[in-house]
Amino acid sequence: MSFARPRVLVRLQPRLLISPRTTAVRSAVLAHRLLSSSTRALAQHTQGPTRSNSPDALSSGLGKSLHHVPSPETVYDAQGKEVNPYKDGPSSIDKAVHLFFFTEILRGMWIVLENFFRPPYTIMYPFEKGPLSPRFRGEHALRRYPSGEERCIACKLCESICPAQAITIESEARLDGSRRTTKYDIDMTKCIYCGFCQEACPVDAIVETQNQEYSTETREELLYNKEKLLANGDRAEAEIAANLHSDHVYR
Amino acid sequence: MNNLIFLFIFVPLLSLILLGLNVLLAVHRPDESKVSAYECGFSPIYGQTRSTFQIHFYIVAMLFLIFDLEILLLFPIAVTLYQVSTFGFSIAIIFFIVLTIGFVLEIGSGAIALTNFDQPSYPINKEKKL
Amino acid sequence: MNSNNLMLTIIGLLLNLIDVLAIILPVLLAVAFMTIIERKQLAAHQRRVGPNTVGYYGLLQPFADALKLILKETVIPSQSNKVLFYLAPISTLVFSLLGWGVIPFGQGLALSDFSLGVLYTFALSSLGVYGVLLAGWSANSKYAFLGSLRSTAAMISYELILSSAILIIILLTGSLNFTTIIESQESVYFIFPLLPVFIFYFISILAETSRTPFDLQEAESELVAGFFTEHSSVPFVFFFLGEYSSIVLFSCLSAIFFLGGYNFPEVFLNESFINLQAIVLGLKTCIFCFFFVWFRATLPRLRYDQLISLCWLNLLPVAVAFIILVPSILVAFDISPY
Repeated sequence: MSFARPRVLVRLQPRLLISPRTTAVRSAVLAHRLLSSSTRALAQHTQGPTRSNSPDALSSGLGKSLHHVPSPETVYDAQGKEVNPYKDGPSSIDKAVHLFFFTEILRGMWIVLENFFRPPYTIMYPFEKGPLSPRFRGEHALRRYPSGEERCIACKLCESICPAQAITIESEARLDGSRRTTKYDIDMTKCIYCGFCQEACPVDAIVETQNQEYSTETREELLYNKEKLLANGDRAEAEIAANLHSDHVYR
Repeated sequence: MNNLIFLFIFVPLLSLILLGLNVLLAVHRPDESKVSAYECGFSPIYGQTRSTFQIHFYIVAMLFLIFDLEILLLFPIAVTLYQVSTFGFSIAIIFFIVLTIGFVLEIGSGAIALTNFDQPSYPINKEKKL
Repeated sequence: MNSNNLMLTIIGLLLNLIDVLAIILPVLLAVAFMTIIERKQLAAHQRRVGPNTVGYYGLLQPFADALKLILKETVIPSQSNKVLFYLAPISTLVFSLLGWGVIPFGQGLALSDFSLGVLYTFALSSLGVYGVLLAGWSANSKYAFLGSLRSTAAMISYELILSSAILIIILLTGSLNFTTIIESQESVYFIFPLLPVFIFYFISILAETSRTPFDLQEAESELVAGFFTEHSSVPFVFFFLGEYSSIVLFSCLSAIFFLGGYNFPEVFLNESFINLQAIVLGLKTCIFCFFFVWFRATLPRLRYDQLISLCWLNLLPVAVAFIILVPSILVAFDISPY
């Protein structure tokens, strides 16, 4: 709409002695341009240098019918044929009515008022909670087999895939010869909750639970070690198993 | 004492009391970065905050002065319209004609055109003055 | 000094104090509740709940806010002009509260019902610009300075429209006294014959109080907080109170100018001791307060040059046209008031 304004004022300038009534009409037109930007006019403008608005379209239409002199304001289509850009738009009377009775503003205000009387969508968070997807990626946990044996085999796939390098694993052979982690640390302040670790894990040992409320008061508490992760897993095993089961068809 | 005069004394006192409460109750530990002028993300440059500004703000203020005076000059006729009737109103119309000429001149001279009309403001991504 | 005279003076002063407190305390409460109403109503428009924790239904939220702000540290920028830095918020608050001195809350229920009430209100609303100007200048910060420039230019421009609209009211009432204005609306509220005037009057009071869609001064995305960027704690409270006090004041003035003030056809006219006229005025004020927030919830912010040219190129010619039209009708049909 910014392009329309220079023209109006340029036309105002040479004719200084205009009656207050014309001023009012012009200012009304100006107000319409100020208050509403016509996407149609903008779209036309991007086509080429020709611009047009309703009074000009009217006069160019008259000019065409009388002596076929194309005014500099006419709009051409891709074939170079003259087109009336207001052929299927609203008439200028419509526009004037919309302007003078603030219909657009009133419509907007009515929508806002309608919503005033509708109930809020708010979930009172700490007291009621929204649904979480089974794929939700929250706090981490290490799982165990039903026998109580920990699943993690220290393959370090999670450590290597972790984009934030939040996971640190050290491992050595246990007395029975199996390879186990001696250290499994996750720096939760680094973690970006991308879920790559649980995707990479061949034995479903490291998983992200649905728990998202584990904020702490110190930074150190967010540096999780193996005990903490195993405890998380023990606490939420049923939930984790259910989520993995509900998701297994998609994997 | 007139109630209005009392109000004129009371309201400033009230605000002073609130300020006093703040002085009494609040901590006051200014430090270097607290008392520096606000700036988005970098240190403020000292001495350059009183920057130049567009003349239009000033012109708008001047025009306001003229027009507000003219409207205030009309208040007497608004109150005495019954007494002065047609004659007084015709004088007011003359006053209005003068006012309108001034107003048209003002628009014509571009005094309140804050957009730079000399250069086309399109294409839209082109840098535009305020 | 004669002890009898002294007693009389003290009693007189006490009566004055009671009178003033009877206005100022409800006004301050109304302003406090205006803030919570705005937040709740905006929330309702956006299908949220809004503040609901402090007190029942969040009603005590403004007091908690005020208490918090009073206990906050006042930071005065080292480059600022200290005297003006304090003077600006104080003047904003004082000028917007002083405006209540002439509002009649019922028949004869005004602090001072003097004959030039409307002029008094004008003078105070014009003086309100000084707070903005001083705040922007004294803080010596770019954002505050630009915010105050914008705000000042917008406020003074729209003051023209405001005074023209009220001039038309004065034409119809023939008096600058608020009570007379209200009494002359007994037969019909001015909003009906003067609907177009009311529309540009309301646009101008939106701009006068720097509300959306004209809140260019605090366009947060570009100017942080506008002219009170540097003000914290109690000085900020003053700006806040001043702004909301002027919202309530202008709503009240709209009720008086266009909805007949405390007049209400017969329903509330009774012989009981309770004065229901003030309640009528309050309800009418609430309508306009609702409008203020409703507009804020709906309309986007104007660009600055649009703001100025809307005022000067559109509203001012219309206002001047009405200033000519209305007295023309009055003179032509010889129905001007006396």
